[in-house]
Amino acid sequence: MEIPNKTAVQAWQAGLKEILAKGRAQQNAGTTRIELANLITSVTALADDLHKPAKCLENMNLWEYPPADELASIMLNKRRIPALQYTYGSRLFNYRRQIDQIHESVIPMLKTEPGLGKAVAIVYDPLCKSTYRPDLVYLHFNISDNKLHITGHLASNDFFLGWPAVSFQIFKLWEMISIELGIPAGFLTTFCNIAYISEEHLVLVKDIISNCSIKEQS
Amino acid sequence: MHPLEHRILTNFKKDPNRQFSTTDIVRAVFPAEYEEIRNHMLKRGSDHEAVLLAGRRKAELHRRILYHLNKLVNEEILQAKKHNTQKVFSLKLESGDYVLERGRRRVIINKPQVLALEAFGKEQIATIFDKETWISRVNSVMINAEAVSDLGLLYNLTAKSFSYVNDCIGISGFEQLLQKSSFEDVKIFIDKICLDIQDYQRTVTLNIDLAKINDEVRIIEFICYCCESAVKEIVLVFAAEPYSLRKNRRALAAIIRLFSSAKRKIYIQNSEQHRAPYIVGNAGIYTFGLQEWNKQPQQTCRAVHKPRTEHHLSRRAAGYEPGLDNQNTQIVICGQTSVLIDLQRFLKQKRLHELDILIMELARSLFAAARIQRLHSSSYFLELNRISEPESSKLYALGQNYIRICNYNLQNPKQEGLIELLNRCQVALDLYSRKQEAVYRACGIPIRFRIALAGGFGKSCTREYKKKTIRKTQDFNSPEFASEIANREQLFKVFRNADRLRIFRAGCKKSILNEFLLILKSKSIPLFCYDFEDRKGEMSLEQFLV
Repeated sequence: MEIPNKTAVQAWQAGLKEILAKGRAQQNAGTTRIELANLITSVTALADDLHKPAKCLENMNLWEYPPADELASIMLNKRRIPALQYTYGSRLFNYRRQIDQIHESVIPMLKTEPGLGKAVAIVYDPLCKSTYRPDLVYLHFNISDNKLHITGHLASNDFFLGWPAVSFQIFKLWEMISIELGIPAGFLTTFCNIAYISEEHLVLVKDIISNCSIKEQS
Repeated sequence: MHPLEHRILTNFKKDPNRQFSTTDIVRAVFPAEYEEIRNHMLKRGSDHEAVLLAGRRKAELHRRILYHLNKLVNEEILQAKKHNTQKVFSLKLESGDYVLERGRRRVIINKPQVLALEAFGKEQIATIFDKETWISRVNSVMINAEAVSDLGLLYNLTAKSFSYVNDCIGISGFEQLLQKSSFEDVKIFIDKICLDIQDYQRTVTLNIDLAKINDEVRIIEFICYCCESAVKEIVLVFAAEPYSLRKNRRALAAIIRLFSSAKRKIYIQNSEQHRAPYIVGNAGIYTFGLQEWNKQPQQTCRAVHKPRTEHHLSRRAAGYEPGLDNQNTQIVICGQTSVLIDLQRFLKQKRLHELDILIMELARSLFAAARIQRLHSSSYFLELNRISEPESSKLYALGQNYIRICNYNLQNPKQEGLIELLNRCQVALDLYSRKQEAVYRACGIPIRFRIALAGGFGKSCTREYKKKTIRKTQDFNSPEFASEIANREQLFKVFRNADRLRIFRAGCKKSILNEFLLILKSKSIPLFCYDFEDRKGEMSLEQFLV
């Protein structure tokens, strides 16, 4: 099910609405969540809007949500953070300490064979024995209509809490590559094998859906 | 630029946000000379003159380094603070890239940004333990002696850890190496540790499981040596259960005599009630959450004590023995940061029911501190990360932040309901921690963040509660003492065993072993200590007449 949207806020609201409408209740690790399989969300607009969903969660004052600089550094910084079992940046820019997938594979391929459609960067590492596995599995890059399109494949994703963060992180990477290639950005798409909402957040989700314009508190 | 200044600045370049004591810098700049001095000071049979000469040489190295450090302070490259008995130096530069060049020598320093937090409680109700280093260091680490093959390696691990902790180091499973190594090696290990303790002003806790002691002579020799020569900052915690206490009865009787003569504290851990090792620090007691400790799987066969209860038999049969994964895990962080609440001071300004508001505010501040510590963990804990490679995240897998309560008096009517309140606070803290972990994990950042309530050692506060001394076993049956024990049992549950019961013991010492058995069998006290130090001014006429 693909949901094309102009802005990240619209994409978020539409995705949440879809999960509530068509998702099924499942028990997972002692909690109930509403799950929907194979949810695709596309965003076309850029920059200012991409952080709005995350900012909205930050402003709820119900938790400490990671700020924009922390979210961006997790994606763009190649250095591992020893206190974390994984970071997206270290997997993308320093995979197994052997390859910078973005600069040694993705960007060269997009420059030399832009239409081939095989520029892929893997985040998932099956050899890594960690308690937590990343939601983000891989990223696909494609140039079409002289625009750079990016798709993030998520194995499972908390669409209420997690999608705002991961979409912003993918956007920051997309922005970086788009500047390096000198090509404008196209679509940002996320494909979630299992998109879910926890039962405890249902009231908040309904608020988000009914709130047509999410006000950003200064 | 003078060569020594170049070497000093190169040291700061490696860890731009860290603070280094004068000893740290001397050790880094003059490694060979420093090692030689330490060997002279530790050498058995060295004459007094040789030891004095080594001491003078050490002071000379300190003076040489201090001359150049003070020059760099005057040039506003470094800043200095007094910390305990030494000066502590850090880069005065703001975050950014710097090229420090003079003559032919050049040092390039990249200092990452460190966020500053607002100062804590102006009213001094809550204080951070070691405010200078509460983010750049951890409170305590636990070293797994069973993952190390000899005392030399164990000492190397311990020596490296001193620079990264601001309170204490624990060593679990020490009994194996103690019995396996020669006594000469054990003495060298203790002497080296004592020197480091004096240099760094930390404590070291050695955990000894009495059930695994086969060589009683060795343990008595060791305790004798510790009591005679070792500093009091080496703390010994004996893990025991009624069976092992009876099995090593003679050795324990000798150990009790040695401790009481030396006026030291003897710590006994009830290993049936709490299996995880303890660390005794200046802020308070550190340990691991029982549920998490029990989840650590056992990878290799090791000598385990004979199971004497059905509980043990079923666990052995399941191939499951709790403890650190001793094939790989050499070191784990135990305590990250500690904040102390002086309850007496708190109640002078606020009411008891407002304590939960303060605790939740502290929890949010601890989360902010933990975030900074995590983001800079690669530079703050460089050596510890290297030791834990390739799975450096295991170093951080069991650490907790502590909110410590000190100077409470459960007999005070104003503090009625304290235990229930603390229970509710711990539940709220657990919910907060899990929620934060879930939020961050959903954002692709798999953090670990836990907060535990615990007892604190409030050395700077004016004590409100009264200390009591036990003189004979019958004193245990007094209504006052029984009520105190009952309260403490409840507190142990609230603090999840991160506390101790201290019993001041005077009078005849013959029945102490039976008292240990009494506490182990009939009380829910996971850790208690007998303090044999004389306490003055509390003898009553009745006690003289008895």
